[in-house]
Amino acid sequence: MQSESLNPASSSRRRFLKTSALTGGALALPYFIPAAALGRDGAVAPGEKITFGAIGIGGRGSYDLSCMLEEQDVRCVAVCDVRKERREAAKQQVDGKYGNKDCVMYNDFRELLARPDIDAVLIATGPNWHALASVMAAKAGKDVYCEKPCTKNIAESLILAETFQRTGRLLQGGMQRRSLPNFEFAASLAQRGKLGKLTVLHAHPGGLGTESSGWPGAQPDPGKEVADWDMYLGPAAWRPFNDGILHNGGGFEKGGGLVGGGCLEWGSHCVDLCQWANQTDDTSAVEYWPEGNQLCAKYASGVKLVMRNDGWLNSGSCPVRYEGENGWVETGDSGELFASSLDLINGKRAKSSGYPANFHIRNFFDCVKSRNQPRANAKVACQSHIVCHAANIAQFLGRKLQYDPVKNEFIGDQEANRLRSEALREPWRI
Amino acid sequence: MKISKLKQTLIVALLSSGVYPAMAQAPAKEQEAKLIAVLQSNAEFLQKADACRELARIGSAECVPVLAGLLADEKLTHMARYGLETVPGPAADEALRAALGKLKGRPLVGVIGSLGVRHDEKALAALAGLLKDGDAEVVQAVARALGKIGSAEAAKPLLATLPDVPAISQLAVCEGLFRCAEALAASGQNDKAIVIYDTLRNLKQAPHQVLAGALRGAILTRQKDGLPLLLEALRGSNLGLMLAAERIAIEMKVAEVSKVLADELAKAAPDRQLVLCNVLGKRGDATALPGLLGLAKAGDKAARVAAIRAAVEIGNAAAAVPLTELLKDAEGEVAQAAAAGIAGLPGPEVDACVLRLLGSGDQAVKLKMIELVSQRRIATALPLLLKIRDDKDEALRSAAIRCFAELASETEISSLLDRLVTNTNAAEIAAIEKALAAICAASADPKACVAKLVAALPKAGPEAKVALLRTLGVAGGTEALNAMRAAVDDSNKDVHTAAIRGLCEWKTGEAAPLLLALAKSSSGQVDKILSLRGYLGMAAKQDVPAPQRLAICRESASMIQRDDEKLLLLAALANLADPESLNLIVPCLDVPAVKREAVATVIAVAEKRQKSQSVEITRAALKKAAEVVTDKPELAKRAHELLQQMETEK
Repeated sequence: MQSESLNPASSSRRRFLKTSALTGGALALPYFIPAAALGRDGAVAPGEKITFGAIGIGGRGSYDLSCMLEEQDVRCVAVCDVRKERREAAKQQVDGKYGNKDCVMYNDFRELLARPDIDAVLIATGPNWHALASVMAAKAGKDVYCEKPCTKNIAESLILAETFQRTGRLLQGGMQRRSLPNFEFAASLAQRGKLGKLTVLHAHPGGLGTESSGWPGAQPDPGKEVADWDMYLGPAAWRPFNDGILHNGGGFEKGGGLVGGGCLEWGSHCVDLCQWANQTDDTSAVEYWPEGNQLCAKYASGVKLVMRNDGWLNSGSCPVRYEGENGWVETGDSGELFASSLDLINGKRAKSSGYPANFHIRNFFDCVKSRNQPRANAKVACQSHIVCHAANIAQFLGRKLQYDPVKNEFIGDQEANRLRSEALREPWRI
Repeated sequence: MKISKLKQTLIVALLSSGVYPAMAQAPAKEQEAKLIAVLQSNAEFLQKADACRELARIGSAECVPVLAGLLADEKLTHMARYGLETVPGPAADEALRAALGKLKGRPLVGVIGSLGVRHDEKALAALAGLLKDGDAEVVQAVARALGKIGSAEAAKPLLATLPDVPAISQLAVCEGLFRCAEALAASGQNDKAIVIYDTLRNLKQAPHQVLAGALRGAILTRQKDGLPLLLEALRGSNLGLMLAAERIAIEMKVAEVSKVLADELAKAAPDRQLVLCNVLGKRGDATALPGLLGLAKAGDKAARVAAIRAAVEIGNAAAAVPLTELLKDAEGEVAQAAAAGIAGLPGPEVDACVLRLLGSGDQAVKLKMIELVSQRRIATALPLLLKIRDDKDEALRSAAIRCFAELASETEISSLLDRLVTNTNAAEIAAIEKALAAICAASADPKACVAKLVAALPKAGPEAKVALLRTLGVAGGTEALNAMRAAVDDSNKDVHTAAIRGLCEWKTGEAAPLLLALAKSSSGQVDKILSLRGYLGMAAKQDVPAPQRLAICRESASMIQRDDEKLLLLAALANLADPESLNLIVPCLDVPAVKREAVATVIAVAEKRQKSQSVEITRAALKKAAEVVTDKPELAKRAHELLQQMETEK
């Protein structure tokens, strides 16, 4: 690999200065340096677009990819999936958009990461790969948009944050509700003290079971060219080929092989939103316990977090509710806001419904250019996932746990601490 | 403890094998013994893998020998490490260490990784020896494992191998060194960490993320002494390092950073000023304000705008007054940024600054201040706005009135009405009407609001009256309705029409009798039609009971002469789902212009028919509908289906 040193007289340098002067620069600081211009292959990316590759193009991946293809300042140059049919479909999607045949297909994402002309990657594999692939991408110098849940356990969450901080790369976790106006407004009410001192935060985890992925029935392996099963399993424990897991295993190894997914599915959204409202993006709760059919946690400030399934107002899927001493607000995917007083939610606001990722993806690409931190950056993702993992462990063990968010360990509970990480299948190591 | 699916599976498997009869209740030691027995048995792979998982949670030194025995097993080596990696105590370390010399390939790579996870200092020598292994995967695993161990001793072999490491393993060695440096810095051994960071940042050939990471470590670990290095990178020609330095400057906790960078502002080239402004804004340190506000006054336009934005991002009210001085800057973008900045600055001091200028500035400044009053929602500006709304300058006057209307609350109704009644300026009337409507809609005492609106009607000119009538429609209530009806008799044509329309659009069915009377008694054809349509519209109001809705339709039907109203009637009847409404629809089946809609309405009513309701009327209507609809076979088909369905009811 070559050094990134730039000659002051290089075209990239000239463009930087020129753009700064002409555009009023500060409007959108034009700091983005295409990977190709960083001197690794001596070329300059066409039109200074952000070049990206997409890794894992199943249902969610196709959707994310379609959102990214709509952005005018980015260009997808490569796709990767362990399934041949998905690779080809994704290439068709990309080539169809650009009207050429240029998109390159990969089975092994390491080959895609090794391309020096790629600035950013979309990682929309199953959750089994999210953290490891993101960390490998950051080490390879790429910015990453990674679907949620971003990690399988507490150790992965911490490594994710420290790797992105160390490498200066950017991560946007796929918690796209952070970029939707109703969720942002509700969080801002809590942050600005409009609800008074916060008392209870409610998140809809979408189920609390901590089942692991189990052992599917063995089926004939179609071969590496059709579906690379070994690569699909990656860091997870070996098991025989199973078509159901390959095509519908969105939750495969979510939460790892022992504790299981639990509240991670929607918790990675809703708990994350509560962290945001609570202004605890840089820490996690200190106490976790199962309580009836819900999971609870408590922050050092005394604020209680309740992960519950029932009793929501009619605000659609993935709702959250923030309660303070002076009022409450609740919202969900319908885009509607409910509050203890109309005064809290009166006024003009942008409204959306559903949970489109477009705004979140735009925020990511804006940050790739400005080098500012995205809304759901690595530190944010790390802490909100730790809350989910710690709650899952409390649910799995069926007892109350105390957690030290500085040392990142459970206090006086060796069994719980042993569940913070798990050995990855060789040769994978995070 | 809740039993997970995995445990259930394991228990079932063990029960069926006879190996493990009661694990769920057994104490940990007993559980462990049973799990070890599974591993030593001829159990299937799945059962052994599950036993390893459980041992990861509860295993002790007892299980180490049997797990270690599986490390060379290609299929089970991962699960053996899965179990071993979390077992407390030195036994697992010793077992993993002992395996180093016996394994090759992926099992060896796995064991090396596990030693790293366990921070096994005693493995250092053996691991260091493997840094020269011919297998790149082994070398990379060792580099990362040494990094996880993270001591000065672990860093030594990595530093030694760095200059000659093959390109394929360079990133892994760098990662190991980063981890060592981080661990050393965390334990207070900053000097040793700095040596590592400096070695990395001075690499001749390294990826940009390594150089950026090394620069970050070198600066942050040096703390205050890292400032020269920071400035060097910020001033330098290497864009990658400059951008890294920008992030580091935001991250640095050292208090002096803001001042040093603010001082740098005046010396820096415009492109670097942009970077410095971004950093200073994000650091949020008010000590940078003088430097930023100084730059905001003069220099490169983009940098001035960036300085204004950074000053605002700091969020200190002290920036307000200096920013007001830029409101009339010759550079439009600068003036605009200053105005936007003042609008976004928090604090009552900023409001006070805006009010001061609203009272004392010239016309241009006052206009800007009115905008800011509106954006900041400064309710205490109302008395000043009241004065300005009589200003001789029309632009200022209109702006003040619009702003006053935006901020007005219930207590300002009289003042708004005073301004409205004699007003003829369409924009001002619209602004006041909007304000009055918003106040009435949100009022806790709408009757009191209506009383004031009604009292203003006699004094109002025609344009104002029309606005008042529309506002009464928003407010609603009996008194407002009576006033609306009275206005129908107004001699002014516009007021008269507004009143008729107001009645037609009334929010509740309360207006129905008035509209019926007007439909019957009005002399003008237009009034008659409007009233009739309005009356028919009352059949859709939620507060009108179903029987009354049918009565409205029946009454309307007797007066309708035009096909347009017949269509409205059919639409109203389609929603009633009352078989009796068919008597009103059937005559329309003979009217060519509405025949098709009438057939659709018959079908809609028939589909909603309750089984308890009379069949005869519906059947007759459906038969006729099927006969007349010759141009829409799908409608005829549906009518026949419904008829057939009714036959089966017998």
